[in-house]
Amino acid sequence: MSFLQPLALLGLCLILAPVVIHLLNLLRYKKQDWAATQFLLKAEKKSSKFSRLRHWLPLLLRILALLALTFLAARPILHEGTGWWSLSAYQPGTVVCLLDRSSSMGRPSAQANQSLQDMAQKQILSVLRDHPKQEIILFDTLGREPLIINDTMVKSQVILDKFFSPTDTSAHLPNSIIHVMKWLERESIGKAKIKVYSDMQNNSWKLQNSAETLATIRHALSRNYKLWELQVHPLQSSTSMNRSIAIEKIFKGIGYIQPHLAIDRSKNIQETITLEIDVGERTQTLDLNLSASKNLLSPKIRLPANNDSPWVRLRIPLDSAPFDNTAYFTTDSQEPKKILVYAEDKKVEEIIVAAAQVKQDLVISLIDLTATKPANLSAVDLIIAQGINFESHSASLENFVKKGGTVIEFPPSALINPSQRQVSWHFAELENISRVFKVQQWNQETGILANTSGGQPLPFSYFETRKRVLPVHGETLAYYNDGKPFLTREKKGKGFHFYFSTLPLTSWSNFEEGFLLVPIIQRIFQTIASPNQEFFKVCGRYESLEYQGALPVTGNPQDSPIENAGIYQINQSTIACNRPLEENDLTYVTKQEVIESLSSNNIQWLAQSSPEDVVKDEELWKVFLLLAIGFLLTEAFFSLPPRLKAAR
Amino acid sequence: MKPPTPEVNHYIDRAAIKTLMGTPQVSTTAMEGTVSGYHRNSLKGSSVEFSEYREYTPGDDLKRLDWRVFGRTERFYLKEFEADTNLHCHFLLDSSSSMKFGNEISKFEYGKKIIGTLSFLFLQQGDAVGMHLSGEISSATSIAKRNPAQLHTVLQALLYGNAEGDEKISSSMHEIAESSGVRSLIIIVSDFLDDADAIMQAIHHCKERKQQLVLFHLLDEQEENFDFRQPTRFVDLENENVVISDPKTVREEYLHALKSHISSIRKGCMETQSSYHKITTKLCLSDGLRPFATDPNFSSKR
Repeated sequence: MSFLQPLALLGLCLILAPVVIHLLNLLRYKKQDWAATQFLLKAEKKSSKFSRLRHWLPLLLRILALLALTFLAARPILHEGTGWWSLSAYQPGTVVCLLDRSSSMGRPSAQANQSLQDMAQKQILSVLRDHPKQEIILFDTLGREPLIINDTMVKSQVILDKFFSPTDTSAHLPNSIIHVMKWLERESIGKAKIKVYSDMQNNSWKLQNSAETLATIRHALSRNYKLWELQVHPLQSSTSMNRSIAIEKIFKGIGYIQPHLAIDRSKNIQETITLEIDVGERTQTLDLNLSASKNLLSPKIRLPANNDSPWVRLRIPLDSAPFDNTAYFTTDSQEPKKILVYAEDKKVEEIIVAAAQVKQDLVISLIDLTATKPANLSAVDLIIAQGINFESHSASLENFVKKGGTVIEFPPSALINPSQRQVSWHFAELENISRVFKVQQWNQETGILANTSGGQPLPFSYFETRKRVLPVHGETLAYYNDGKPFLTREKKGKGFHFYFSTLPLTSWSNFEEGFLLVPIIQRIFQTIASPNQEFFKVCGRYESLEYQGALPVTGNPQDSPIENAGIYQINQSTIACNRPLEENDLTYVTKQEVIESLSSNNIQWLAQSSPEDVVKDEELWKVFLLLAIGFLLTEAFFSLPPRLKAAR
Repeated sequence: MKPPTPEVNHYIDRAAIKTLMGTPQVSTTAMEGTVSGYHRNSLKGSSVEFSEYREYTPGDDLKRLDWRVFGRTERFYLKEFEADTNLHCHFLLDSSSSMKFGNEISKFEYGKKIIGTLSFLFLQQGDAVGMHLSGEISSATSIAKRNPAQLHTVLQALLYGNAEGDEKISSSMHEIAESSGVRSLIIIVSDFLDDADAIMQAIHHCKERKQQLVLFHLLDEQEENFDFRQPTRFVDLENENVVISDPKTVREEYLHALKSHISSIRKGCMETQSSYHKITTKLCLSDGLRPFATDPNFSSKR
């Protein structure tokens, strides 16, 4: 319990007044000569305890009445959190709602025929309906300034619609919670309930990758124990059939463009759907036979010669969640990938160029890397090198990889002696002619060494080598039968550095035959993120902020590249925005995972929202008013003259 | 300057005399007086009131033989008549300090007026009157006399009597029961602030002595109502003990104790066919004595 007017508690000193008056009255005895003392003594002796109690009762009642009146003036508030009895000033509870506005919130709800977004809006507004005097601070996962809504504002549907409208962004709820907590600290709000409305999508919580953020939340909650309370309102999405389309990457050739599409389905059934491909105003259709829940497709889209609408829209049939049935990308001013090949051994260089040249539209440059200036690397997407001393080019190559470039490196052809040893490689190893090194273990599920879509593994069983130079850096992607690395990958900034441990030379191995070299190099081509090629932006990411004010070509006129997927026009250039690929994720965090990750007593999991979750504070002035009246009436009764009392 | 000395006539209330004068105060029980009077004698005498016939016994006075009865029945019968006599009335005035209490008039002064007025009346109808102060039973005024000068003697004794000391009324009642003769009237004027059982015993003692008892219980209005509002320091008039009390708290118990005490005395009087009159001193004397005049135990009707 706390008080709205704690200063009024100084009135507690008033309870001394009746005590003093009573004592003064007792001291003011009247002297009286008396004859019938024997009856007086008998009466004093027989005067029962109740009579004595009744003598003191009016005094007690006066004190209690004054106490009740003082508390009445101090306006006590009974609320949870700070204990029943506290003389502190009242801190009104603030209700902060954090709304997950990620794309996945557009999915239909399991309980009602409405989206999760609408469900969350309904629950938040019901709080205001049940508590008309309550104000709600509304945050979203877009990191915008909070919106303060109250009962009257609910009638202004325009503002609310803008705030509650669906977006094509992803969410990072731990970061958003931190954002809310910082706002609470900045505004010096003592007591608050942070209500998080989310579909609990794994991708929105990122519990595994946010250890530091979660620790910050834990610390803030424990520091504000009994003041801040985190309430999680999970919203369960429907399990009905849903299809989604997303672009993983785009490969552009001369005269055509080949997007790598991921079409995910919530149910694994055999069906044929029509993919509508809008290249500007022209529409093509393509029938797709789908049998798996996750489908990877790479349709080749021919671009018209005079392509005046440099964008493409891909549509699959609409379902209950139409937000994820469309994908966009642009086609103009995109160049083919440029590969720079350098090898100290000319035979190796020929073989590598041949392996890379499978894709006709690649631009392969054979450059003396040692003579290349760093500025010339700005137009290169991939470097394949052999026998280069990278230490001498560390600055330019490091910068190239960190920007997103990819390097595939083969070991030096000459056997390395201790004096010539380079940092990236161990000593060369030779095996007897009768015995060769073979690759025994690699990741067949995912990555560049994964099995083909038909389930066939890469032909490592045919591969054998007699010489090898083991790389020092990177994680091992394939192992020899003695556990040593055949291929490693090292991440540097945005790019990757691959190390092979053998050369495509007959004197070394049968790698030159191409059955393994070609698919591996081709797959690396497909996985590389070109720093120079960008077909679409991702909504909600930092990069999309640069295009604020862009005019939508598709969708609604109010759409913005920050929130909505679509084609936009800005400064006579066209950009495409898509929702994040990870929003296709259909895995969800559980109550136990959230509670364990945050491990705080200030967390509540509220599967069912109820009005009592919000405000439990209650003014108690009515109770004290009734008490004061009761005490005064009782005191008046005991103070009545005996005759009047008897008449009653 | 000396305070003005009240005259002896001050104790005779003229209004009360006027009220009670026409109806002689006659005892219902037989008295043993020395001269003829209004009261029934325990012995047979020569009044006009026929009593009974009795057979002649040798030695009886022949003058009292009823010859007419002898003429009819030839047997000797004596015709007897009731004897009328006067009574000996002894007044006992409680002179303990508690009798000093009183708001407008003290109980002691009120008691003096009762005794002065009744003495006048009894002497007027030829009865002998004696007056006693408690603690002074064997004084000069203790002998009941019927001569008119006795009134002056009684009034003088009243004039100089003071309420002081802590003599209990019960012990004075025992003394007067012994000292006064049998078949006399004893009128006790007191506040009876004594143990109720002791008073009961004294009443029974008087009755055993065949004395008729009249009790005038004097109470002040404050004693009767105990209507105090604020905490009070009560100082006992007899022993000056102090009792500090809040009257509002103890009033009910006080009134209950007083009522219980009065009930005890009244019960003792009923058992002994004595008269009991509670008089509040705020009443004028004529009103205070009116119940005595109509008392069935002591009235003009025989």
